[in-house]
Amino acid sequence: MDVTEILKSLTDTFPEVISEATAESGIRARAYVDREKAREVCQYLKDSLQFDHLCSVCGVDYIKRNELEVVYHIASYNHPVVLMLKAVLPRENPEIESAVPVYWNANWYERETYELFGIMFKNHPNLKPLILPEDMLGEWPLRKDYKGFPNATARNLV
Amino acid sequence: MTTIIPFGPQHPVLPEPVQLKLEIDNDVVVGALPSLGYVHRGLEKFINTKDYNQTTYICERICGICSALHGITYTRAVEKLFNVEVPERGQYLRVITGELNRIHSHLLWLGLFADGFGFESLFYECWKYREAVLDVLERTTGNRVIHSMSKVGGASKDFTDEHINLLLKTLDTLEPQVKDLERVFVNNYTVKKRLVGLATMSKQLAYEAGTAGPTLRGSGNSIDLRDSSDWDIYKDLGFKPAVEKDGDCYARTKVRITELYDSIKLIRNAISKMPKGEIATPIKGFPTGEAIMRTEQPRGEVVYYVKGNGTKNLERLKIRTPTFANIPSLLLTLPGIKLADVPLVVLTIDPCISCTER
Repeated sequence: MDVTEILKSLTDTFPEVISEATAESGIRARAYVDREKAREVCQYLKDSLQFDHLCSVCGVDYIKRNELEVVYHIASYNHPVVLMLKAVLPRENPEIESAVPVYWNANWYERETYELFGIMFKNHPNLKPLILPEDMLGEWPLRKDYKGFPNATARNLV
Repeated sequence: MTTIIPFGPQHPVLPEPVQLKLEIDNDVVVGALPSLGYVHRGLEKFINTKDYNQTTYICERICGICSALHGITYTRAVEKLFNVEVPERGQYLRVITGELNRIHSHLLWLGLFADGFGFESLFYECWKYREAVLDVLERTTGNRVIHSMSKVGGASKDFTDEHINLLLKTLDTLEPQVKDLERVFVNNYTVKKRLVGLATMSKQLAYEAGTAGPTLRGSGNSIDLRDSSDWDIYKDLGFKPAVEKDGDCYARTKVRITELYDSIKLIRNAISKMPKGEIATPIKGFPTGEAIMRTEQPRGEVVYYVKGNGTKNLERLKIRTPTFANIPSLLLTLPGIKLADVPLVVLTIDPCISCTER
């Protein structure tokens, strides 16, 4: 399965959900996905396009656009394409459906994104901080909106 | 009645600071609750204050054992942003340091593992052999642990003929030593008694749980990023992943021993094919755009996501390390295991908590 075929199949199945689907090279592709339908798209990727391995989930804070982004990196063990699937979330209410029912290993990746960015993953089985101490919850240390960024940390310990 | 016994973060067998709260019923584990965060340094945040060249050195300091491959993966990702092609000699130099890194990491792990099941003399033996690899790294790259061999655009130092002769000589002495280790690890009665059938992970579980590296390959999945299109240079070197079917601790040990031979072979092939010429392409400007890069580390797949914004700092750097992927699946294999075997099982995924928490 090659990258143009994958993107075509994806945009044909979800014409209103997928936007800006582009192939960067023979083994890399990216697309924006509507946040309401992110999980369904993941399900389709896994079932029909052999994307059976979730590499990572991460958040990015775009402070100028006043938006957060969730980036899923999805790869396959059967073909070499890695897909970067991005969902844009508003800063006030960053909520997205959890991908855990599709990819079991999304559990820890989403917990990490939650504690660092404050992105809520709806229907996540255990959305608790993973690495940070419990009392840092709510500081969202990788967001860029606090005073003194980037030299200060969220709690201004340094 | 179950009792909860804390395992770690300070433990005589497991040198890594991870805590598992083990639910014990009659000396058998029924559940495990991990607690992480003892070595979290916030490096993904720290890079916001550094430029993209300095970030190379930060990435190398994520972990002391797989430092070379962290640096290499980061630089390869940033090169994607600049769209530059690294000269072939630079790529071969990276492969050689990366594989030497893998050899010393696996030898370190074998030693710790031997210590884990109470075979202390074997621990000394493994670390003695590892010392020779560190010495050759020091002589060739200038540093024992953090090699700084890879920079954005290529390699930072070149090997002379003298270096290469020394390297080949070290490999020639290392190979029979690894054979000797293999004899002890693979055929020893006590070792087999302790490891065969312990913490079996089925092919399906390892695959679906997204495990990485020797844990994945020890369960019969023939998946290795050195064998994929993510790193083209390995195609010329004739690489085949090491795979074992059984999925137990013994299989994972055997995978790592086979990989030692593979690495020795890869370095020899790389040296014979390495062309003369430039080692790095000069880089100008600031990175824009985004890229993902995946590399096979000693512990498995490491994923780097870099996003540039046209200034000297990166907008975002995300690192997903292999142990982060392996620990959740490890927790699934713990129930049903005797308390005395827990350190061994935890060691077989080769946990690197510094990587995990960054």
